[in-house]
Amino acid sequence: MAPSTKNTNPKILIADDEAAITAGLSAILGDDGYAVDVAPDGQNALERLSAERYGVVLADLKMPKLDGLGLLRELQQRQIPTECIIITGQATVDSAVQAMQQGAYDYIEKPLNAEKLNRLKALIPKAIEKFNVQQKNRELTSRLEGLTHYAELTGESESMREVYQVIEAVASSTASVLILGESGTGKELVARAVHSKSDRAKGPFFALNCAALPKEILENELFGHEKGAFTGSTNEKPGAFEMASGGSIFLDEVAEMAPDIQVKLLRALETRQVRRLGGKKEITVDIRIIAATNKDLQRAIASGELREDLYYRLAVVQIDLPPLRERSQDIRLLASEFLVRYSGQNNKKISDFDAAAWDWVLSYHWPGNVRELKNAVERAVIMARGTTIGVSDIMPRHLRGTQGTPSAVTIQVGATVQDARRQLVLRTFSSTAGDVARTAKLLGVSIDDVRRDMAALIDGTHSDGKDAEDGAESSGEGKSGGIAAPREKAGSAVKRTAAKKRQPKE
Amino acid sequence: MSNPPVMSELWLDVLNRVCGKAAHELKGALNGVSVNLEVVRSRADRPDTVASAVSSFAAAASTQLEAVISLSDALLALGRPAREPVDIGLAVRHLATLLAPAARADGRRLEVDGAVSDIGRSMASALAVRATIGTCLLSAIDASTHVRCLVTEEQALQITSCDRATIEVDAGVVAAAEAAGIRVEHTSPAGNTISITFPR
Repeated sequence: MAPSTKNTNPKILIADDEAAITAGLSAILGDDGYAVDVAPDGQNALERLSAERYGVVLADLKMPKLDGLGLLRELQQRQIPTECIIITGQATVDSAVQAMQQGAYDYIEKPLNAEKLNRLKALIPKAIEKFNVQQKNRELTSRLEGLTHYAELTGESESMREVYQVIEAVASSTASVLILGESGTGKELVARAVHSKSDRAKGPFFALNCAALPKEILENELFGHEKGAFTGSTNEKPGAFEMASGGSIFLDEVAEMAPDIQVKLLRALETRQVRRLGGKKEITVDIRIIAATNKDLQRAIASGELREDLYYRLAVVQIDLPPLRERSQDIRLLASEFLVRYSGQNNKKISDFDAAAWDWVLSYHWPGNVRELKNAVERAVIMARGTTIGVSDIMPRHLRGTQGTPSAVTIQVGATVQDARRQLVLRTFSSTAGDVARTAKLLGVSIDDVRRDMAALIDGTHSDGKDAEDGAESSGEGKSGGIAAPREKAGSAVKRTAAKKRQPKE
Repeated sequence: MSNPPVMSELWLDVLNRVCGKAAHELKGALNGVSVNLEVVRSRADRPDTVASAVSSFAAAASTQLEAVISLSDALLALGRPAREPVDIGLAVRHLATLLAPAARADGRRLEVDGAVSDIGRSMASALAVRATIGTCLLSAIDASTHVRCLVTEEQALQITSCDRATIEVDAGVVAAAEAAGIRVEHTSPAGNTISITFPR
């Protein structure tokens, strides 16, 4: 007898020109609780599938107007979601393989005797399950498409939507989550999103920064203590694990945690039990751990700063949060939101950034990520005198004077790696107003490396040994003064070099 | 002109093509029997089933079974050696039984006039009679959406393409038929009618 739950299933379409077969099949599937429609030919089936959603199509291979393979092809081309089971009276290996290659879920050979009908009945729920899973994914994807906000996160870039998808997928599970991302990218917001989208949303969310707290305090915060556990502990105190039971704990900068606390954390993760400092009793906790770090974890594991077994426990699901410079299409959205927020908070009527300010905001590489952008906009709102924010309002003091220097580097195809590297060094050197140490820090190279590259540029020596015409002119000023000399002089020397470089050769 | 095909080769080719066209119909009819019987069987197992819930499916199974019988009868008849002198009308009817459902599925029509059954017998070999009729019928069905078989006053079998499409019959077939004493000729200026005259 038909299980009543099947009534909630998607409909089934039978595409066959044999009325005697479609009537019988409809009755058999209807008796099993499925809602069934019939299309007398392939073209009609395609029209119905375009207009209405069917979980499964049972299509005869040979039909008038559009045959089964043609129908499959059209379904693929038009991206009509359904699972197609081909019913064929001509079950050659070729036609079956062709049907499967074109995306058929399966095929059944005619005549549909009792054995084959049973096989078909067994196939249909599986096909419907596949359709339902894919349907859920499609709905999730379409829900996230066009989304600019997700929980407290803001961003419409592809990379942020991928982050939203991972959060959406992982939230309902109990898996530990490790969030990786540079400082200021919004790791805590991701952690909050995982919590708020989970079944634990009504439970507590407890955030701890492992780098900000001394070892003893962190241990006490995490596990709590019994009365008299140490000097001055006059009362018992539950730790974060206990207080957040039924909710989530967010451990920021987890790689900074002292090794002996890492051992305790690992144990807590494995047994779901904690023991307070000075306590003898094991306390069972129901907790989800969300950890984050901006460290190079491979290096931290190799150097022994982070236990490898703890890493694997924490990184059941890993979320890589992109830096702001890698999702530049989100900068405008974020900047506009911060502008509205801080204008309101400061009772200012600032409507927009002016064109030059937008140019700068959109081209700056934001090493401090969203946090830096947020702070810059807040400062600009406070500093602005008119109804728009100008470039001088938003640009940090240390970057002023390098206004004309483009922050992007364009490398022509055919350039050598060394040329590309020197271009990058040159532009960064220029953007830091000739600060060699800051240039080296930004580029992640040594000061000597920067000096060597700058000297090569000024000497006009390219990797291929040719003289760089544009570098030669400034060599007199640049050799000694361009790098080691005070910043103003160095900056001007470099700017001239860069300006000359853009001129076409005569 | 190349040598005319041997009649046995021609008949084998006709039989292959007819079987190819009828196979889907035969399997479809078998499928209909099977599916409808399955409905009857599964509903009959239920204690609350009333006769009206199964009668239409039993009737459908019966109709489909008749189609299976008709198709398999025709196929077996054509597969067996025919008694000579061969019954021309029977050969036409068997071929039409196998070809008409497939033509219908393709949106075409094959009509056989009742008088064809009484066309009589021929002294030509059974193989030649069947091969010639089969080749001409297949050519007509491939060319036209509406084919009609009649008997002329001269007791010749006339195959007409009602939508006036030209029926093309290979010259080799015409020559082979002639060698067996059977005359195949176009009898309309448009070439949409062919007439087959058998030796008596």
